[in-house]
Amino acid sequence: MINGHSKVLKTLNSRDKLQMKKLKHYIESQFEHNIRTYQKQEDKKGDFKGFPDELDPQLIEALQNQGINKLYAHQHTAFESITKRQHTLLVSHTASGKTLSFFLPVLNDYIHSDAPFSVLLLYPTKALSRDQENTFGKLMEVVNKSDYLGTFDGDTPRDERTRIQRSSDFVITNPDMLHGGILPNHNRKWKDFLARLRYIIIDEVHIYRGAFGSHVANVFRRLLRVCQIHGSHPMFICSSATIGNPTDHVKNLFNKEFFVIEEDGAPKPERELYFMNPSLVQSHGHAQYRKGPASISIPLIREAVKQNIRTICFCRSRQEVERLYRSVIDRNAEIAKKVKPYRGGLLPNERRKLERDLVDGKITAIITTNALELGIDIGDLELCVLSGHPGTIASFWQQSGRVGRQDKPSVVVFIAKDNPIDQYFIHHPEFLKSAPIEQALLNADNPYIFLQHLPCMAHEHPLRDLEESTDPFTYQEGVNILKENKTIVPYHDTFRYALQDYPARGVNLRGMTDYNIEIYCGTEVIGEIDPIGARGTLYKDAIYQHLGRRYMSLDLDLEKKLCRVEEVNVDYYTEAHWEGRIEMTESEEKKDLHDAQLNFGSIYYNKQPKLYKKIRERSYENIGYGPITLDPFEYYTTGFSLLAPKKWNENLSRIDKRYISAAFFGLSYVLRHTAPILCMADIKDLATDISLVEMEPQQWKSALYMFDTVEGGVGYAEKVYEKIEICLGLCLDVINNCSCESGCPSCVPPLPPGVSDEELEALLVESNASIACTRSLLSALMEGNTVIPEVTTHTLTSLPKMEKPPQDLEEEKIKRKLGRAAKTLKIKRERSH
Amino acid sequence: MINQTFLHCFGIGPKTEEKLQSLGFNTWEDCLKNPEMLPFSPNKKDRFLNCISQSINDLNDGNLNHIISQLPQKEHWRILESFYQDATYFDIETTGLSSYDNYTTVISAYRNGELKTFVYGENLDDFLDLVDNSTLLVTFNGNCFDIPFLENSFNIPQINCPYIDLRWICYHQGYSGGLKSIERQLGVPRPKGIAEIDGFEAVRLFHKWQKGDLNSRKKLIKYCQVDSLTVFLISELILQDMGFEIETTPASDLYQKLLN
Repeated sequence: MINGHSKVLKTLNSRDKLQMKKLKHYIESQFEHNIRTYQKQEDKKGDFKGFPDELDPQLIEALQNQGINKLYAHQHTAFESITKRQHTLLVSHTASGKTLSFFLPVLNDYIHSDAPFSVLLLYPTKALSRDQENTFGKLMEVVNKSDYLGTFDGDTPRDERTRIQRSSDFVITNPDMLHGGILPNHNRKWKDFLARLRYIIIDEVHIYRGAFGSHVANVFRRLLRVCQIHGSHPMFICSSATIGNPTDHVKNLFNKEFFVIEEDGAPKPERELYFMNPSLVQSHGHAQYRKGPASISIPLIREAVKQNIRTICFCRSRQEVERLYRSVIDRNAEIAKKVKPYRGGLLPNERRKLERDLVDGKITAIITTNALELGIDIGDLELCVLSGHPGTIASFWQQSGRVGRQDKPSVVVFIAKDNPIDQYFIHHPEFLKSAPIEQALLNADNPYIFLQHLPCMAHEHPLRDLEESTDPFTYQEGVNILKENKTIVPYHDTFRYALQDYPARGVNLRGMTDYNIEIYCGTEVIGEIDPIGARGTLYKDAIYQHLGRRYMSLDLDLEKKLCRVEEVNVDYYTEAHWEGRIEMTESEEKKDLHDAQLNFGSIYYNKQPKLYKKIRERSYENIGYGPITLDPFEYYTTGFSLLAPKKWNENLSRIDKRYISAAFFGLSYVLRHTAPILCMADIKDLATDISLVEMEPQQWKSALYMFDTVEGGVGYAEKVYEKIEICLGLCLDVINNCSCESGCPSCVPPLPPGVSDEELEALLVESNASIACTRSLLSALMEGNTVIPEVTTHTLTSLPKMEKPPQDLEEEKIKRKLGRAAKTLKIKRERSH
Repeated sequence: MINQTFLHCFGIGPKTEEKLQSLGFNTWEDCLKNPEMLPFSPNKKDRFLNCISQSINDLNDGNLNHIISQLPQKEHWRILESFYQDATYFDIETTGLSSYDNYTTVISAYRNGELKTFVYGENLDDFLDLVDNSTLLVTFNGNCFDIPFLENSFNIPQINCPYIDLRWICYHQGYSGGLKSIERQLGVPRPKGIAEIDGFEAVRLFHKWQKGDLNSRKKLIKYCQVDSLTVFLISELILQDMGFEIETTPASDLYQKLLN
């Protein structure tokens, strides 16, 4: 959205303030008993600067024709740093005029340069790629060279690809296409483009984290290597959402020093934040339960639409979006015209239409998943409703940041769900303000990931003694392994790729599930979904909701990657109940930690929906069950299991057997949240599970499992296993430094997620058992003593700072990991032949 | 002779070359001897002399790549004429036309009376060593097919020897068509049993061989060997046709000596 301040907007301002007053009045009167906190963020004036001196008059004129007479301060700063050829990173809370920040200096250079250079633009997913071509296309019209633009991704038709390869100066693509389409063909079809490459523009750079980020970092190593071979030295221009470590992150990704711009010169209108907790009610029995967020969001959205206030509501899941949408428009044709759902799994053209309608104002309210959290331009919105906490602090601010542009006041309503973390925010609103924003972590030298890219590198160009920006030791060892298994052979003083295949084909940047299942109604494809989601929502007889219509699944064929549905009219929805199984199939290493047993090895993980519940809409009554017969979602990975010391087990079970489970659940939680820092992984790359293991016949003991969620394992859980003492120390640090008394989401919540046993839940809810027992277990593991936990009834509070431990390169370990990675690759290759 | 042309220099076309010759500049060395007599502006003269000096050095070192790439195809016969006795003449057989999903099955190379064969699954890689030790590679249609196919197949950025394409040399002398057509036009016979085999048959032979038929292997190799030998034979004949005093090798002698 190009920043403009025309007269028209100024006169609307006072009307907006009045409108929001009306809405606020509604909120404050209707939900008086639910509002827990109210915070007001003052408005901030815009920080403007005139056009830079070097800006070409043609561009100035084009901007003025669109009503733009000045730039935001950060746009001006970006122009200068980019013109000085410094790698530049823009960290923004919202996308305030990103397009201009990127493209003004680049277009300015383009107009003035003797020979046309080329620009590579990278957007995270296919959807975003195609969107930006339109915004950018408008700017390109300015320069009258719109023939030089092209989107190169999986959807690009074949003849269009040739045109783009031959004559485009600006190419928009995504990391997957760069990895599998462009780099392997760098010497023929893309040679000219890469030889002239001057700028690489990357949007939303914060999403390249964890295992995916490590893969992408390697793709960029290969790109820069290939550019060097063709004689170009492109510079980077990136944008990122707010993360805890912007400078380090881009350094880890691209191995370059960046000029980081964190100021945001866009004016911020006043923004008001309401924290709401739905009411507690009595059910038919004697139990009390808290209503769901829909009890607030439905009337709120309806009122907002009536008042013509542009609204976005973020839900946590696709099906929640569909259900909320149906409820909001139920029996209200007027509202139905103005409200729409949005989520992944909709067809691209459906998504495009929704985005356009939202920008044009044809839709007043949109109910969405976090799919709309990222940069697609969706115009100016005024009300943001968060149905539950999105999972990370960064996402919370990203989603709330979708409202409040220009000088229109905005309102954010956070509605808590009935889970420990959401409830914690209700009781501790200051936590959100002061909680550290999560860091983006990755490791390009992760041996498991690096070894997948080394053959690709060899295929692109024979490997030389030294390759820039790779860790020398890891590189040498990788080369040795490839030499040994004859993947590469000596050629002059380099090593050439000796096989006949295309190694990039066998490397999936995103892990296991990069394909989609298509949903057919009759012969028409109405949507698509990933294979795990399909198991959970498209099993036979499941009720699937799509854009408000209801369908019943007739058949889900995972092999053929399709699902057949037919439209139905029912008054219930279905929910699958998953069962998981985890097993260590092969123990490779053992460790003893003060008599606690740790085993590291291959883990088999199996998740399967076994049955589904039928739940009546509106009343949420359970009206029946049904079986689900589907192949489980299973994969092999690596990880470790941990068993508590015998003495500790015996002593605690004498007092209360539940203490043992409490300790395991608590440790599982804090471990899952601290381990990623140690491995530079993303939180979703590691998972924990608690299972019973038959130690001796008829003797079942609780075991904690920790494993990588990436198929085959990428060394994260392995690292935790290796450094278990350090990791446990970190956990203890976190707990001790936390100023809360009986647990909180920052250390160990009173009721950690995953507890299904009623008796255990009762204990945890009433006391500080989770943190006390966790402490006891930690003590046993780290010092070998048995401390009986002092379990008392409770209280609460807030947070710590997590320091990254020093990383030391243990060369033996790397060698072993590379060896393991080579084995995995071999199996993969044999499987595909 | 290579040093009798100036057409590989930037800005020098046939008319300019004629002019130079009329002024007595017949070789590169002539130009270096009397640079002040060159009919060029100072900038053009500088550039021209740089090109000439560089070309002399390149020729001495055997670095023909630049000269070949700048010289119009019509003049490539000069390269052949200078190096035909020591050149490596080769041909490849593959499983198909596109290097994307096909691979090399046989390579046959003739040089200085010796015929070397490289076979899939056996010693294909050794061909690269031969290339390292060669001065010039000659193929028929190799610019479009053999060379790029090998570069892709071996995963190397560029084949490590200068190369020229006999097909276009023949074309500019008035002989157009594929290898077998040129053989007929110039009177090069094929040995018995090989004349009927074509590219498609070569692919079939390979698959039969893979299924266990060793006769097919033998036949395929012989077919490839003949192709490489005729490239050599045609090279001699085309030079003779242009008026050079070449003692051409009789095809039957070559076949008898080298094929079994």
